[in-house]
Amino acid sequence: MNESNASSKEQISALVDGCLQGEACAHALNVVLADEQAMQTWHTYLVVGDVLRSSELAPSRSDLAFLEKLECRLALEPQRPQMLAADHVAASPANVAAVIADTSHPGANASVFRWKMLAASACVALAGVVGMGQWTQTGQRTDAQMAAVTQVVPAAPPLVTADSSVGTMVRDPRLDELMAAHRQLGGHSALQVPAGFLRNATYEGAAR
Amino acid sequence: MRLFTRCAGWALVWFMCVAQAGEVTQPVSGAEIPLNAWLMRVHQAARQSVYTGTFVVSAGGNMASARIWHACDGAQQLERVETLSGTPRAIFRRNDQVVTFFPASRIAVAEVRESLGLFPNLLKSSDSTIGDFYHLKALGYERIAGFDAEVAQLVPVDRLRYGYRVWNEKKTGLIIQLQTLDLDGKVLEQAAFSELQLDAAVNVAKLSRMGNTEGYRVVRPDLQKTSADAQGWVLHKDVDGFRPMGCYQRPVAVPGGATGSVINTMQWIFSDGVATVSLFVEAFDPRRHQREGVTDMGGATHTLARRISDWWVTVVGEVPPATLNAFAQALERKK
Repeated sequence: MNESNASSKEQISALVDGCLQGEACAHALNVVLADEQAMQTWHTYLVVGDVLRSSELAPSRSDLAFLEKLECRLALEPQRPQMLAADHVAASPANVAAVIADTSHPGANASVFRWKMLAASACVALAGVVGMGQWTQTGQRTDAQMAAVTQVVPAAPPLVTADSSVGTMVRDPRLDELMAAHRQLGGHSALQVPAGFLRNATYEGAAR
Repeated sequence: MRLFTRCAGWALVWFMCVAQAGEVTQPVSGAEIPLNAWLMRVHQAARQSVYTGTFVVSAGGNMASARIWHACDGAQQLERVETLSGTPRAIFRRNDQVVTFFPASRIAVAEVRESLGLFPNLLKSSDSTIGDFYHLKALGYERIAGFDAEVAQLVPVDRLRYGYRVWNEKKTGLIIQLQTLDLDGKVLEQAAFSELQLDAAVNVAKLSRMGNTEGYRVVRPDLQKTSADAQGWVLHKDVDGFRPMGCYQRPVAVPGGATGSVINTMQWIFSDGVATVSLFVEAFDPRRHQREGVTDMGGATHTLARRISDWWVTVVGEVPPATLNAFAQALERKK
């Protein structure tokens, strides 16, 4: 038993080092894939190899402690409200956060702290870019997008704010109606023809 | 040689005479222009010119453009505006009758715009007080959309209204560019022909066919003429230069309310002859009416909201916020 264990470990070691060819390689792979303990051994050998090549890749005790603390703190963070409609969820930052939190399928490098930090930074950056994109696009939203946003927040009044170079503008459907009524009946100007009328006919307000 | 000198001398004299004659007809830059005569010319030009063109409006960082056709035959003014940005729509005007076509929903909104028939009769009458609140200054000449244009500036006498810079086509007087200027002279918005064809091949009969509502469901806005007095409202203090031009009431569906629930909104319109202000009054609804104060709608347009006991007042106009505030503060419920 011990002998077979030793020979299988040797095989795994040879597999990690890339020394096996053809059938021997296929057999070793089958062994690793079939047995959880063999898989653990294969993973340990990989980490040992990495540490031998570069000590920076080895997770130290203090790093792991920090990581544990970070994970605890992340778990305590309040969950982001589901702001967008279901068809937008795939691209939402909340979804990105969900992917980060999903640890049921750890990656091959899951135990390596630097990789985790890199992944976390990348996700934060991605969330930032997506968030910034949504923020800057607020002023150019179409009616349909605005409707999607207002539909999921029924308690709040249907206001949409947009930052422009001239200050904060508030898009309120009711205010839009009043603006239209003003354009319709409010053309009491000596400059009404042709400029005032054409201006009101051409321009229906800020970006819609 | 003597003959050449004489010819050159005559040419010089002729050139100086022409230049002198030109100066007599052209206002010197910075000189005051008689306002009413200038406004009459602007109106005559709009009534007598036949043209097609592309009209561009830029306000508050936004831009919109439309294709324009205009024809007239003395009694009738016909115009078609096809928007090239925003919601697809076409606006057809016959004098003060305006129909807006929405091709996507096959709905045509038909309405009468009394303000279009107001001028130039007001200018002819002694009632016109535009000259008391604006001065007109000549600014020289510029080339716009391929035409030589006279440039003039309407300068307000106080800080309750904006200024305007106007480019008129030199021969006809047609306004081809208009800028609204803030209190410091900065451009708030601009409306201009980017391309214009005067005396284009467009006639009343041809343009009339473009106003056909066949295939469209014609909707007429439910507007009722009323008076502020009848609605129980009064301005306890006039806003300098602004006169009441009309008051209307219209039922408006309550957003998010029960099906079929409507509220009546009053629209009281004021004008100083150039700028217009609308005072909207409706019942206060704590769910919808939460934000008092001024809102910049982009360009020259501002709105101001204020609660007066059980009422919600929204003032809208192409005027400085201080003017809207003067209206909001002056409005009160009749005792």
